[in-house]
Amino acid sequence: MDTFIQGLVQGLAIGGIYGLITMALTAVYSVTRLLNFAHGDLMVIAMYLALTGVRWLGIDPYLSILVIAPLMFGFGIALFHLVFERVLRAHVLLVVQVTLGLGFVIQSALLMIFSANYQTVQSFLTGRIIVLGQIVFQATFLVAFVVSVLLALLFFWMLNRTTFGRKVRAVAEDPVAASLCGISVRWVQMIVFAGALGTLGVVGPLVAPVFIVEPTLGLHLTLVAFIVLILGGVTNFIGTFVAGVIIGLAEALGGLYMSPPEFAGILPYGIFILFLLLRPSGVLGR
Amino acid sequence: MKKYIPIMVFFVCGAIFSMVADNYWLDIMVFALWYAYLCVTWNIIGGVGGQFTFAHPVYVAIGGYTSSLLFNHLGVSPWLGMFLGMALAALLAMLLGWINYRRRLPHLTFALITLAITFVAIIVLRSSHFLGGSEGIFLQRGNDPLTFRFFNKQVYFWIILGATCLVLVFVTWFSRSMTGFKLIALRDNEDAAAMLGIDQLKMAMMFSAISAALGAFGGTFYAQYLFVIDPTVASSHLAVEIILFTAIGGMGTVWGPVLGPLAMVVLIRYLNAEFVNISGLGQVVYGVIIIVVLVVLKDGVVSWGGRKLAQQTSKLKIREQRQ
Amino acid sequence: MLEIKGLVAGYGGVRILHDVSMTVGSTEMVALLGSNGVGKSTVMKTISGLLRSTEGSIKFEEREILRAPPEDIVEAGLVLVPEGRRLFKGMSVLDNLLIGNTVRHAQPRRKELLDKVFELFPVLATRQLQAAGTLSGGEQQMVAIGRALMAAPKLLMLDEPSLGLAPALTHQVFEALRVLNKEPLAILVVEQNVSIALAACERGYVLEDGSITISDSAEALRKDDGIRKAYLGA
Repeated sequence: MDTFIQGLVQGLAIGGIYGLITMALTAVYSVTRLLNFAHGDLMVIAMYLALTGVRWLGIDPYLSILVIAPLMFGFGIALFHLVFERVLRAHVLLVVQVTLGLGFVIQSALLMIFSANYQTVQSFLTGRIIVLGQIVFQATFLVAFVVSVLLALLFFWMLNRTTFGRKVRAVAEDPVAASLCGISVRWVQMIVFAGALGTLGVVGPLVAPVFIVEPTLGLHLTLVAFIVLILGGVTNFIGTFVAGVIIGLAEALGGLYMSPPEFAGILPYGIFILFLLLRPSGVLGR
Repeated sequence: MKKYIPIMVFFVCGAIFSMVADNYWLDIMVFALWYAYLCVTWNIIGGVGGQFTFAHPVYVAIGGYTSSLLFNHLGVSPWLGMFLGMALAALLAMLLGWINYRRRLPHLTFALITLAITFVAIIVLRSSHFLGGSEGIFLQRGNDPLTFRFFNKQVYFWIILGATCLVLVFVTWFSRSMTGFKLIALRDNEDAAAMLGIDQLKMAMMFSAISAALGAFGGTFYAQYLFVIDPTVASSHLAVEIILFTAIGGMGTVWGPVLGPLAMVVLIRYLNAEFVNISGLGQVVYGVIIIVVLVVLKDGVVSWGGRKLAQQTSKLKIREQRQ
Repeated sequence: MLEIKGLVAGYGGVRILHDVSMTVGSTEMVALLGSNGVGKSTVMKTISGLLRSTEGSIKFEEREILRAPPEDIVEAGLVLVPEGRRLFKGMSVLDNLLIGNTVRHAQPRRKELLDKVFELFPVLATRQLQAAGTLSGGEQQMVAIGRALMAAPKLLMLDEPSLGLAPALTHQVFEALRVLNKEPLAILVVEQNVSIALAACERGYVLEDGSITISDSAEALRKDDGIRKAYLGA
């Protein structure tokens, strides 16, 4: 029973993180209708930046967020202007190709710089555990989860209670009408995109001590994000978070009870495929 | 008959090349042609058919693993074993095609399912002892034509060249005469769908099967050339490469999936050789090139070129009419 | 205030407008008439920046706006209430109105403008927090106009405001437009409903075959036999 609760808690924590990662993807999709296949790879960049901070500068990953997040935000603005802005009105498949290419470049660059070795990132919390009753958490895990939830709440607040959030909702619903109201749709798209990358710039270093860092993690994360996106309902942010939790739980509990344990990796994909077979049109539409 | 001339020219060029090239270059071009083969066979269903899929490497793996296992355990020649591999791959493809059409899955959803399948495939391959685990399956080196094993690289070159040309012949044949197939790509068009009805489903499944079966042969070839096959051949990495190479060449064109990989593989090998110290630079460079081409042209090179040519000819026609 | 000369526009290589020229004075209420599909909406879309035109000139307060993006045109004071209203159905009435208040020069006047809208359309005040999509057609049209007014326009354009509205509501809407026009606020209306348009406006243009064929006072147009036969069924 204890291991079950342990698995449950771990699944919830991972799930919350997945939920946040996907919300960033969803936000970009809602205002640009772009599906960024490089989403995961972009987060991996942030993870490697954290790694660099630890190895070469001795800075704790949590501290390096202060630098990495703004850096990623700026990178997002540059990337938007150089690549995404130009393919905004192109055919969906072209966007997939371009973002696949981008992810590929990122992965190859990371491979080139850091090699394919699995890396771990140490933080001051590594190895520390927190005990609540019968359950033992890794501190790094807990911090990652709590911050993810906080960021998600912050996002909801921004969306529903600020002027900018109102603009985002308008652009997401009807960009033409939004422009007729004087909103610069391009600018909103750019800020949301950069903001998503900035979020990844926070989540990356946050989970670097939790995940194993290696260059191919990117596409895997992207796929999980897409799975969570589709399961959660594309325009429904809360649904996204819940779906993230479900996937996280599936992974964690699967890892506990399946044999061989590596097979647990199949569970999210299995759920995804089953879901799509039972709910034919998927929630995505295109 | 005229439309097959470029293919004949291509074949002849390849033949000449094989006779003058040294082993180093033969090796590079075997790989380049292998990629071209994979891209052309993928394009049948991915670029032209509108079923954007990441699953091609899985078919490659099925082909390679099946023929290799049959050879190692039962002594069956890969020339025969490959047909079983092709059949299995075709079955999987038909299943996916059926799901795609019966469920009317959106393009993206189907693409994601196929991506998920590559991940599942790798996990399965890695975890299975029978399938060789992470190491894969090794084949005994030898020089025995009957069992698809040769010391001479030239032979492999001829085989892959021939295979690629045959597939090109097939693609040229159906892309000109079977315009109905193109309508599959317009699957979202309700009127066309109503008109074609069941035929659409049959055609989709048939072409999926063909594409997969041909891809499976690519797997057998790979195993026989390297004398080993391992899980990386089923990876999403290869799937992305196939998609990107085809994209830069031009999706849905006949020659796009040939020129794209030929150019890129040669480029990578060259870069990796020049910059041996920075391993992996080649990948980064060609990735950037692909992005730039796609963003600027909004299309692959061959398709873009085709459009420009069409515009020029129509401009000339208008000018003629004005006079 | 608004001066259009020789405007050419179309979609994907197909020319809809060949040579459109019209003007709207700073206190006028002008109608743009024409049969279905002739290109009236195209004119509106081009003026508001949604559609790119290659030839011609559109000047607003002496400034050329032919190639300006939509948000700049709204900023300049030229606001369109689009065909079909295009409200943000998922958002509340209040949010829809507040979105309208995005332009910089209108923001300081937010409270004042909001009060004005509620004064003009009292029913909206009672439905402030309701989702815009749940309102009736007439109320939605009011929200759409209100949203445009929140941008403090100098010239208000409306594309088929009577579409889908019962006659009583149409009269209500045009009554409100008349009130607004007296402030003064220049208004340009595209309308299928010729009689009500000519009753409210002082001048009218008729669009035919991609260009303006008739330009006259509303009075004269009402009496014109050709107009009466074509559009008023008389």
